[in-house]
Amino acid sequence: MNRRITTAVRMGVREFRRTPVLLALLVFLPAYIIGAFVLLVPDVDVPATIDGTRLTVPMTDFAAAFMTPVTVAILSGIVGLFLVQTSQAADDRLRLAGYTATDLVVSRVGTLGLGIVVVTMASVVVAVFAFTPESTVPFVAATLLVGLTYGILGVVVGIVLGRLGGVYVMLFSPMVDVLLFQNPLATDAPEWTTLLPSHYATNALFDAAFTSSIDAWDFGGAVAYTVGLLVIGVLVFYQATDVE
Amino acid sequence: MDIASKGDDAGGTANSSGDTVVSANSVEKTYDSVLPFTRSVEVLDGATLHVERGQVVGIMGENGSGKSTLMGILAGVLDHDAGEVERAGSIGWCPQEPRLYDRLTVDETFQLFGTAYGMSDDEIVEARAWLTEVLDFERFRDRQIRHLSGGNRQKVNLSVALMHEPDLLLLDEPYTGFDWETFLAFWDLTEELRTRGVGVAIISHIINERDRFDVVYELHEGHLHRQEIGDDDGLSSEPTDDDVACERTASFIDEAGAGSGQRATAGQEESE
Repeated sequence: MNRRITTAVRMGVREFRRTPVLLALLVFLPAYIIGAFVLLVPDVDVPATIDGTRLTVPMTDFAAAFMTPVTVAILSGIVGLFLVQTSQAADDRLRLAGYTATDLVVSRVGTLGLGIVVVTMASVVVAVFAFTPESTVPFVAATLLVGLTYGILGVVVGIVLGRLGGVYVMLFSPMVDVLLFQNPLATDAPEWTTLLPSHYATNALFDAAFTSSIDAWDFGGAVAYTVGLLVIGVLVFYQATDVE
Repeated sequence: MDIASKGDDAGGTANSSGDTVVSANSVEKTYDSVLPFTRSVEVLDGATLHVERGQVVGIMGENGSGKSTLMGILAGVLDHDAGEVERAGSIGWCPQEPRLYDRLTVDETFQLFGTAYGMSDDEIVEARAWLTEVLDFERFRDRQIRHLSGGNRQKVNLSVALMHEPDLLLLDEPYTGFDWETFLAFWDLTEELRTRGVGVAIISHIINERDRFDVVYELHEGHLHRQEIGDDDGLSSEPTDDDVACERTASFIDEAGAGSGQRATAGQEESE
């Protein structure tokens, strides 16, 4: 990693650190969303369809597992949005000063990745207070993939829509995608919902949470989706910060 | 610091003339909208301009005439629809609105942009010491940009453009918010840069300062009109690259010819 990239990542992390509202959200939202759902749901067993199999799981466990990707998707989207909104105006000046497109993209992806790792860790820590996943490492990996997917979406939405519109979209879309259409308690989701960003990652996450098996197809799909979005994100970011 | 050696770092391209640091020929720019029922705005229509080494060039024009667009195109951060822009050597660009990272300190801003320019740590420290002293903001070095006053933020904005001692400086109303002492210090600095052979292009609304320029271009209706300073009759009513004359420019020449010595430009000292 060259000097320009390490400097930009270091400065990006400092900018995050100096944004108290964002830091407060990182701590507060996982505790509030995951914790509140776990406390509020009744202590009963519920039937859920995991990887095509009908299982019965405690409602509190389900709430903890289910609200983890919701929280991570919302927070990662906000982190991506914040990252691009705070840096976009100055990024083209940095390009003019000598950063290559690759330097800048790698720097921003690196900073975004660090932010998403923090979001994922904060959410998983709260979740494991309520339940123990059957397969912890795949559960964390799937959660991270949800975060990466929505973090990149946050960057793209931030460039295209601006701050206010972007915040609305990044709050609304995880609710529709994860909470509504990837919900294992729901039945007969339309076929097109398999195209939504979190489909494969949440399938992998519920597998890891409640079964000891790992579905390579879901993980592969989630990774492919993330890589595809990353390519789109890089192209949009490159276009937005392009200089002659 | 070796100025010429840093040319490639800022993406400059070779120029046909050894003395010209930037030349724009017949540049056209229109802002189109993707939305239906909205009109396109034609900003530049065949604008032509040259800046030589050691030359201080003023770009004037009323609000909304396209000066900042022209500057963005000269810097290379804005696309143009037609025409050619050639740059030689390294560029320092000071945009009208400070494009800085609000949550970084002044020191960190120097570090980040100095690294971008390919400067060593020692060179960054040296440039920082020079500019914080000349522009008098040494005591704010550990303060975040968002906590600086408008004037001090503008000093950092200007310093980022200057710190690598570029061959070409493009300054878009660089002294907005400066106090009088800093304003004078800025012009001293500009004189120093001129003697070092730096080409400087400045967007300015301050008409009383026009004697400090070697050449003034007035931007009107998308065309640039050139005037050599020291020759009040020198402003051409003909644009620099085509045969479209402007009534407004013609009337300005009349005023200059009457010996007013100052231009009645709309929006004097206002931000665009």
